[in-house]
Amino acid sequence: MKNLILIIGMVGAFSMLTINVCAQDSETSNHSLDMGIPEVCLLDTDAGSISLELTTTEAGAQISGGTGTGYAQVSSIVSAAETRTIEATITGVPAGTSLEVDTAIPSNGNQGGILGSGTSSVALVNGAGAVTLVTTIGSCFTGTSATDGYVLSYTWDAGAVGDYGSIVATTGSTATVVLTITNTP
Amino acid sequence: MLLQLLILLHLLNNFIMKKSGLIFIMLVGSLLLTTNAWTQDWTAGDNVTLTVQDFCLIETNYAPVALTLITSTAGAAAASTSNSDLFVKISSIVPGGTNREITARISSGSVPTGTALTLVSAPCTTTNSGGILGTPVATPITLSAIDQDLVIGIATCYTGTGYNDGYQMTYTWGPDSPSTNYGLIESNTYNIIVVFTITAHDGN
Amino acid sequence: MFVYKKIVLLISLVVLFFSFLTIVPAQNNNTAEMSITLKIPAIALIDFVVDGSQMITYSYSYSGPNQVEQIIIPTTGDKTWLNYSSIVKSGLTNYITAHISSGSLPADVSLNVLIGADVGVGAGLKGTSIGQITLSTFPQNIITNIGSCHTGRGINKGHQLTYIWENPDSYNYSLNYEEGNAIAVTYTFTSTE
Repeated sequence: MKNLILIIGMVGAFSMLTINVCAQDSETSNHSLDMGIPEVCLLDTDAGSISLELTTTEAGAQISGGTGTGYAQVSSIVSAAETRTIEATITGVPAGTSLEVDTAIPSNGNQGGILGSGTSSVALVNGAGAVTLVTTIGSCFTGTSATDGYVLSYTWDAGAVGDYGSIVATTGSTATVVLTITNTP
Repeated sequence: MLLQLLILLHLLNNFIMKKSGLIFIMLVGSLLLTTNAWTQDWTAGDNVTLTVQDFCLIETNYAPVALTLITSTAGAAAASTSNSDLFVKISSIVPGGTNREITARISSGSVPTGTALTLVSAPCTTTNSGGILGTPVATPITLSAIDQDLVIGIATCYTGTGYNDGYQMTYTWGPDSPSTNYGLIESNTYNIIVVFTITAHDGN
Repeated sequence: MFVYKKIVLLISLVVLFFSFLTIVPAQNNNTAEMSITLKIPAIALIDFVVDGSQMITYSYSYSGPNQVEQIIIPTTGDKTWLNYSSIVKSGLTNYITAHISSGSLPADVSLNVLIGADVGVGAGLKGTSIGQITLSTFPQNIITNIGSCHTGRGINKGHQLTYIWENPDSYNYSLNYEEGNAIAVTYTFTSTE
C-alpha cells in the first residue's frame, strides 16, 4: 500500500511537472508567404485621333504647320539590370512630306518609376527600319487616362525641296505608327 | 489483494497453457475495481488544490499564401493585391486582469523594394470560440522585422480549431509610394516568413 | 516560474515551401498602333509684290485668296513679281489667267505683259510661262501646268511681270485715275479640278 501511495504521488508530481512545462508565456507560429512579381511589358495608345494638316495661307510660301500630339501608355516591370526601349515604324506618310516626332517622358503627375529618356526630331520614314523613341525604361507606369503617357509630338512638313512636286492634295490619308516596347538588347 | 495476485499468476500460467482467458480478464477487472475503491478512500477527507496554470498556444491553419503583383492595363501601376486565406488560432489562459497580444513580424526574407506588405486581423470568428478574444488593431500594420500588434486585449479564450476558425488575417501587397519608388520594383519571386507571436500576459 | 517571459517555450514551426514558383505568365502586349490622319488641302494662292525701291504707284486688292488685282500705270514696268503656292490633287494641274478687270484703254493703246519664267526659288512643279500676251477684258492663260509647288515670297521670286505699253502717250493715266478708271489687271489662280 505504501508503494502504491508513492507511485501515485510520483505520478501526481510528474503531472504537475508536465503542466508546468506546457504552460506558455508566449508562443509563435511561423507562416511562409510567397510573393511573385512577374515581368510586365504593356504598351497602349490613347484612342484620341491625331489629325494633322499641311497647308499655308501665304502665296509663295511652302505648306507647313502640321502638328499634333499622341500619347503612349506603358506599364513595365523589369527584372534586375534590365531596361526597355520603345521603337517606332510607320507607313502611310504621303509622298513629298516628312514626319518627325519628339518624345517626352510623362510628367503630368500620374506617372512613376524609371521612365527612361525621350528623343527629339526623330524622322519617321515609310518602310525604314525601326527608330528609337525612348530608351532605358525600367519599372514604371505612365497613367491610363487619355492624356497620360509618353507625349509624342508630331511635326509634319514638306519634305526635301526636290520632292515638293510629288505632294498631292489629300482629304485624309492615314499614316499608322507602330510602337513597340522591347527589352534593350 | 495478495490472494488475487496469486490467483492471477496461477491463471496466467494456465492461460499460457492455452486455457480459457475469460477468468483472467475477470480477475484483472476485479483488481481495477479494488484499486478504484482504494483511491476513493484515499481522497476522502483530504484537501484538494485545483491549479490552473496560465498558458497560451498559437497555431495557423497552414493556408498557403501567394501574392502576385501585376497589371494588365498599359499605363497602370501594378495593383495592390490581397489574400485572406490565413487564420490564426489560439488558446489562452491568463491570470485575472491581465492580457496578451498577437503580434507579427518578418523573420526571414524582406518585402521587395518599392513595395509594402500590410497585415490586418479581423475579429475572431464566433462559431467555435469563447472567452475574451480581444480586439484587432484597426489600422493595417506595415510588416517589418519588428513585432507590431495585430490583436490586443486577449484574455482567457479559445478560438476553435477548425480550418476557418480564429482570427482571419488579410495580407495586402502593393507598390509603395509608386510616384517615387516604382522604379525600384524588380521582377522576381520572393519568399518571406512572417512570425505570429502571442505574447506573455501583461501581469508577469 | 519563468524569468524570461519572452522565451519561446514551444514553437510550432510551420514553414510552407512551395515546390514551384508562382510566377504567372508575364504580361506582354508590347506593340500599339497610333493612327494619324493626314490632310493636305488643295491650295491655289497667288500674290504679287512690287519692287519698292522704285517710286511706283500701285494698288491691289484681294478678290479671294486665289485672285489678286493690280493697278497698272505706264511706269509700272518690270518691277512686279508674281508669287504663288499650289497643292494639286493627284493628276491635276493649276493655271493662272490674267485680264483687265477695271478701266478701259483707248483704241490705239494696248497693254502687253511679258511673263518671265520662274526664277527657280522655292520648290516643286512650277508652271510654264506663256510668254507675252496682250491684255484684254477676257481672261487668258499666262502660266499653265502648275503642280504642287511654291515660288517663295518676295521680289526676285516666282515669275517676273513686265508691262509693255504700245502708244502709251494716248492714255492719260492721271485723268483716268482721278475718275476711277485706272487700268487694273486681275490674276486668277484656277484649279482644274
